[in-house]
Amino acid sequence: MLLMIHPTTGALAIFCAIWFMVEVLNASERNRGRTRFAALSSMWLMVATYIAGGYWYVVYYAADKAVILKGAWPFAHTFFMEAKEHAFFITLVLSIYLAIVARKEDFVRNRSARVLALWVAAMVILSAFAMEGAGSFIAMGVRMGLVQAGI
Amino acid sequence: MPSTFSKQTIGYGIAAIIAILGNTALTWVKEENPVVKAFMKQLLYHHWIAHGIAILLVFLVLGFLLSRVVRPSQARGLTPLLVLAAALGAFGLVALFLIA
Repeated sequence: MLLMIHPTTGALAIFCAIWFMVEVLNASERNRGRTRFAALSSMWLMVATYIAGGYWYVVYYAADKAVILKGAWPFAHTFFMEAKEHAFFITLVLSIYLAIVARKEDFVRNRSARVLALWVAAMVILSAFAMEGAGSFIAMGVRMGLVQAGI
Repeated sequence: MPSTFSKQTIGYGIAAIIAILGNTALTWVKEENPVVKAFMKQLLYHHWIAHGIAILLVFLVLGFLLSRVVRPSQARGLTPLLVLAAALGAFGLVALFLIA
């Protein structure tokens, strides 16, 4: 269940960041609330991703790691998981920062704030997509290990 | 003022830059020094928990403190520096685990 919640909330956080970009690109007095809500949703979904993925990683990942390291794709752990578990903090910090910027800046009148917000949202989206991709390598690494073990 | 950032945007922006680069630096130090990794594990059950809490605390506490110190300004370098920090931070992590 945790393994389903983790990538799902991550993907929803990406969608909310994309939604946020659309709102900022069309910033007006009318969509101010929606813009903030999109950034806040992206942040809380990323926090949920952190908690669900972190709990699974700390409690259950050791068994998967052993399977991956004995399988045909050890790099699924040595590169993808190791890089993912640390790079995630960049995504998390940026998504929290995005919510702060969305709350404190006026995107209708301030072009610099729009540019900053769009860059931060783009980095959240790009890095979160990279996390999703790395996650699929890790899942495939487990599968390769199980196939090699004849399970 | 139209193109002025709020003090929270600047304060937490600087804190984000430091937290992102600190995340990569801490990962390098931890991976190269088993003693540091063992200490972090001893501190909070798993080195990754200690790592995450440390980075979040750096961002939130530093951001809070800087927000009280800085003034609203144009801060022209904020956006490019943040993008550069994220790129360098990610590159540093990829390089570390590619070499390893």
